[in-house]
Amino acid sequence: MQEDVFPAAEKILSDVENIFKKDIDLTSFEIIPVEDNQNKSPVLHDNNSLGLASWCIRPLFCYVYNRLFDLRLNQCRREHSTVISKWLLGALLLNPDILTFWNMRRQFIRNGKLDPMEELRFVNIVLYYKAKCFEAFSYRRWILKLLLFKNQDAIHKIELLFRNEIQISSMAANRYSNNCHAWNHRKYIISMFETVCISVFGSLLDKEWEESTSWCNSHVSDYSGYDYRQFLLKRLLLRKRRYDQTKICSNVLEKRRDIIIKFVQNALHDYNNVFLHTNSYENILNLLHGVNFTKYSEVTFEQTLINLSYWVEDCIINTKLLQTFSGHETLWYHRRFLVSSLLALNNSYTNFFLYKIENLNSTVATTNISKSLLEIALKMQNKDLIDVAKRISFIKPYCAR
Amino acid sequence: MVKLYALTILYKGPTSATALKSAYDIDSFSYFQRNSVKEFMAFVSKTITERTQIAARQSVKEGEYMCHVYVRGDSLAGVLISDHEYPNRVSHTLITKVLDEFSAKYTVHMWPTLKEGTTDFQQVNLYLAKYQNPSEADALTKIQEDLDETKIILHSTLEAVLQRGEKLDDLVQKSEGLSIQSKAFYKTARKTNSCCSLTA
Repeated sequence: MQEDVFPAAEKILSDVENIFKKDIDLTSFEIIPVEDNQNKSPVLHDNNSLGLASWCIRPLFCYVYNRLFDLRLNQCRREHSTVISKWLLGALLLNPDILTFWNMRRQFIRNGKLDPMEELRFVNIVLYYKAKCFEAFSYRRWILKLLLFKNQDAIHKIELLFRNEIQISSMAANRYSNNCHAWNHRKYIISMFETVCISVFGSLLDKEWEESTSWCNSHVSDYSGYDYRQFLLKRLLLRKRRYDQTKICSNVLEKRRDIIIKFVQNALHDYNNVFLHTNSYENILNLLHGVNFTKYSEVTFEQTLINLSYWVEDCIINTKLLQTFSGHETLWYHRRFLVSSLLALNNSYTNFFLYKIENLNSTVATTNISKSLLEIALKMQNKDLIDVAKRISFIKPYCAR
Repeated sequence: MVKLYALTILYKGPTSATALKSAYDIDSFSYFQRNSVKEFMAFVSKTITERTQIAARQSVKEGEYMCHVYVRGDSLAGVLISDHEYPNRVSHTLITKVLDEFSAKYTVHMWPTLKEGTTDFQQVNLYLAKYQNPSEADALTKIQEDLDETKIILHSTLEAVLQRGEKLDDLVQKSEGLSIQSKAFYKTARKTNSCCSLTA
């Protein structure tokens, strides 16, 4: 085939590979439209950014694609692994949707021919260029799991890895609107956090909530970002003391309580302020949920009040956004979610005096635990998660298998 | 996305418009595109001012971008390029406010001779940053609603603003403000139908 002959290909690929190796802080890759080749190198590298001139893209991709499939068809012709990984790098950089090529890289990692940490850096750049690439995210998760099982002792290292993943999904979400794969990746990472680094999970959840608030304020029609927010809200509503066993800080408690009080005052102008400020948390909650008395004494009402305050906070934000930005469906869908979760919360409180996962399941808490996550939980012996999986299995027998 | 990209103050002369001061927020574009994006936004600002009548407001939607323009009775003009989700009302308030402050600093007879490089008016940068969050600035806009009697003319594409017989492609080709690189970017963007500006 004519396209197979592209003498400059190997040189271009080497240049690109070298940039990847040398520039640890490389952040971006893009194709630069150029009319003709002007007899110049198509590889541009400046300010941690990599660019390829558009004229070389087509012949270059045809070259690597044909080489790689030739190789797979006649296994006997052997090539050195460094040459193959160079081809793969070129092919995946230009078109990351080919699963076969990712799988070839997976094989290389397994054989020790590629370093998993360097691979993560490579996928960063791929995701910068094609921010909504499912194969690239799935490859990342595969590497993470590999690293997790390899060195179980270094928890802080794993925590760093996870935080990096959160950054990557932020970047991808900013580069491509309604990027469901990026947000799903983030959800997965949060669940991993919950499974592996329980000690910091509480503070992480708070930080994520704040970040999501500012993101949703400026992306009023990004339904994938809002879906992630709902995921966070579910976690916060069902939060129990187990994440951070220390006593609830009175500052936090007061701050969260004030959110609720302000909300009630805005809704009912003639309401008796003194009642809300002086009453016990138990009475406030009973009043809000329309319950007359409490039977259970071992329930921590402080926690329930904090949980509820997140719902209230989100409701206030949603109202404000609806006023500022008219005609955005996503905002109304989010409000619908808030209403249905309110019904579920109320239902749960009247029965148990706290918010329970089983009770919320039908409307709010579809906390599916994926098979791979459960696998990790078993390996890490995370009792909480296994417990949750068992409880969910009553409702959904297939999901905790 | 709720975002502001560029704010430009221009003087609409009898034959053409000249930029007096501008501010850009284009870090969300990839590195090698930024220069072209900037050139193109300057080009659009100039073109649209030249095709807007004195004492008129226009808002033009082009793909996922909005371009707001206001030419005052005294030929001072402001152009704001934003994302299409940014509230129009706030955009026009911002332009009015910036132009008021600019005319307080530089008087009418200076406008025809001002050069963009030497004009000292840092407020454009400040306002562009501050108004990224429209709800923070919204308190001001409520007053503005009754103040402003000028109607905003809405257009659904950039082509609709051009005078009869004009083509955007020709204007881009002829423009001196756009580099060869930017023209190549424009062609590619046109081909892939991702509108006038240049996101991936």
